[in-house]
Amino acid sequence: MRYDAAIIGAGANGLTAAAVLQRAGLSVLVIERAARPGGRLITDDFHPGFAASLFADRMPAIPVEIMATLELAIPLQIESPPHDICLRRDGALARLFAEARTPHRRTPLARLRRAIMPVLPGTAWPGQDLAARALSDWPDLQAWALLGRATDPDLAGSAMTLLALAGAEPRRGGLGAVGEAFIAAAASAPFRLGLEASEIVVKSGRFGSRASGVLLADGSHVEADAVISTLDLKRSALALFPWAALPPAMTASAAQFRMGGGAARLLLALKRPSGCSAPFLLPGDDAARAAFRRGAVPLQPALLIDPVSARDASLAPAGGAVLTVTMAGIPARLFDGAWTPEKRAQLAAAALRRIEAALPGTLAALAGIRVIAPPDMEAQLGASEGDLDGGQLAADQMLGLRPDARTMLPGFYLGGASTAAAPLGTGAAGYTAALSLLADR
Amino acid sequence: MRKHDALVIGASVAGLAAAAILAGAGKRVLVLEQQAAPPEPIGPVYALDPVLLSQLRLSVRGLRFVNRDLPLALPGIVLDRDSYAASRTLGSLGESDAKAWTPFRREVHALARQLRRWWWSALEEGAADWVLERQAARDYFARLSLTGADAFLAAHFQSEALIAALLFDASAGGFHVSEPGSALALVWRAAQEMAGLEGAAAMPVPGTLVWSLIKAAATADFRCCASVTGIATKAGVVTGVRLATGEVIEAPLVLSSLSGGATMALTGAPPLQNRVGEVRLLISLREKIAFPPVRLVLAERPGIYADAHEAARSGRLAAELPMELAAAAPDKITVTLRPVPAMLGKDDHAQLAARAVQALSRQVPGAAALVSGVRFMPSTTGARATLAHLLAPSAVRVKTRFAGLYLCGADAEPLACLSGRAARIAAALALKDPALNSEGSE
Repeated sequence: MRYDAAIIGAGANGLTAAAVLQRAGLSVLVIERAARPGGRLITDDFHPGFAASLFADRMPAIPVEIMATLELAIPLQIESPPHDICLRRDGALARLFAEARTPHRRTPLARLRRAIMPVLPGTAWPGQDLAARALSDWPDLQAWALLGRATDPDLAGSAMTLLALAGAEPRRGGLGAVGEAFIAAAASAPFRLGLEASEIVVKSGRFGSRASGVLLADGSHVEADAVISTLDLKRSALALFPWAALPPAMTASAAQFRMGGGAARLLLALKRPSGCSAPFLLPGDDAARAAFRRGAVPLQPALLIDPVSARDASLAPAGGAVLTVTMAGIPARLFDGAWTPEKRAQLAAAALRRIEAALPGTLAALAGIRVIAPPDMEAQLGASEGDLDGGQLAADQMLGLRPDARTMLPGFYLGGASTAAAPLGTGAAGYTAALSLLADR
Repeated sequence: MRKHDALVIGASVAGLAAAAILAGAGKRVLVLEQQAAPPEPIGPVYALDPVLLSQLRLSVRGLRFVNRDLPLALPGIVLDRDSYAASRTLGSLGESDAKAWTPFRREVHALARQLRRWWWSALEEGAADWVLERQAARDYFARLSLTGADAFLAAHFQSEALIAALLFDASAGGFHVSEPGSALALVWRAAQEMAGLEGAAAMPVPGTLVWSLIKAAATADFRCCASVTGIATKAGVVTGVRLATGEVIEAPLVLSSLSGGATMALTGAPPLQNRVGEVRLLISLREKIAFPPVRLVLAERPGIYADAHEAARSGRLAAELPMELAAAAPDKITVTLRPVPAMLGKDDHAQLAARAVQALSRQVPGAAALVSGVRFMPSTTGARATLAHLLAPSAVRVKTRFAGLYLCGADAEPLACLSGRAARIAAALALKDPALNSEGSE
């Protein structure tokens, strides 16, 4: 049968898009290559009895529109920013967010600039990508920029995470609980699990070409009037289309889009409480940044250590604790070959040494450990270079300067982490893509 | 044009297997799963159907086993598949039992060999008489069908501990172990062993069984969080299912991996009274423990089966319950308890968990301190197996009184097990169903 829309990826974006389109009366098929839907919103036992959200601990908050449309009822704990930067009194940033989420307008750089200038008076802009280090005069702003993801404060563009909405996590059950709520919202759409989308079929007609379906890994063909890809821009544009099927300008802009570099995660199961109650950052050194550029295993990257079980007791058994360690600036590809078990162990050992120095006694209490390297994120989530942000959050790749949901190819929509709406809220990219698709029908 | 050729209720092992076969034949299949993702079965798989295994190429698709042949054991004694080794270890129970073991194995397996043909040629129509080709065999089975499992075993062995351990397999499917015909359950189980995957019980590496089945069923559509509240029928023919959301999905075929009773209840028929079932739970430990690769049955005397059965029929948990322990991983132990009431409350769960942990720590001292979590698997309860059920042609158990509605779950086997054979039979029959071919499928 022919579907009105095929959605590639059953993460928060794909599920949101599916739910919105279903509610509008369209027939939708969601294609997911993993055995279970949920994308990065997955909580799993990584050691018997100890659970953690595998790929991230926090997500951008869920925009109110999505909460309402999908009728999600998840008790979230949202960290509000120290200064009310999301809703300034003059409304500049709030308006900017609203516009970035509206599908029909491309927000010009001038607006971005007007929004950010009052926040950071006297900072050079644009011309250089803001590093979070430059915010040292506003320590709470700096802390806010670094919260939730292990951004290296010296990395160009790291201050741009300020433009993402507040970080949120559910009160119980890790991000997997959010994932299940999204799945339940999209429950009336059929999924195809365990099957990868290998190609988007482009049909050329009298009025130019348009996307007309998806070829799956087993050779079967899903016919659809429109295709929403929730993969990042690079994968969507460079890997999903037959050669020369896309307008050259689109391929070129996708090729120039920069990924922000991968992150690695360590999940630690501890036999006794960890001794810290709030997340803290151990900054990286120059050698780590050099190693990242060279493609070597960085031994002293920026680490964000988060005692997740202190906030959510359901993750660890009584008396135990779960620490997650997010490492920034880990190369997805190494100059000397693959990510072997030895290199993972090297990365974990170096991180554990530093954690032991910061939290003495951690090693003695260690019951289990799991290392998630950038290639694992790439393999399991399909995130190019293991970059969960879908592209570097630099000034020229933020908000209106990120790709729009609507592309140059009619019938093909981007609903993934690379789009303008993505950093603004969980599911926002899928929501925008679905609205664009509905507007075009 | 219709959207779906067949609906499968439940993404369990059986549901996924049936979906994989139908989807492999080019049919448009929709799998409806109540949870957010296909659930992972826990514990040993009894005699996974070898035909299914090769037809769906599950090992190519990632199925791995921790252990492919878990022998039955009782505390201190492993009943190895090598019957001479087993009889040597049985010496501690008494010389007569050690001597009786090899003849008993030989006798049960001779009977099982008769049933094995029937297992392999499951798709052929007809009653069991052609299976039991020799008159002598037929007479023997007729006698067995009047014998209770405990009496059958008591004729061979003297040790109560040994009899009690062997009765565990006979009590599957809700049999009362003294019930006439329950001796056949032992023979059926042996036939499963002989025809199944190398041994009686295999332990897959956690996660790989579901993953390989999902890969096999990749062209099927899934709906997660979709709970089926009714099966729509019209003049004895299935027309589709109703979901909790009020949505109706139409299809000419519905395969249910739920139990027969639950499936019939969905069609609006009066629910069957089935009051006896089993429960399975997974104990996670913080550290690895040394647990032998066996199915360790804990049942001290044969009498506790009858007591537990009586209690379960009146909806209570007995003071003593037979249970089976097996290691899914060095730090994961699965426990199967039966017979228990089909409907269990929250308090019962807590009590069962406490008993299982207690039993485990009696076998492995200090294990109780390492427990980090206990997970329950929804109990697979079904219509109680009867002798007629056991020897009836497979098609009878798989079909229902509604055209187009098939049972593919473990419940459609005479003895509840996860073999996947019922799914294969149901899918094969569904493929031949006239409803599938009469309307144009395009």
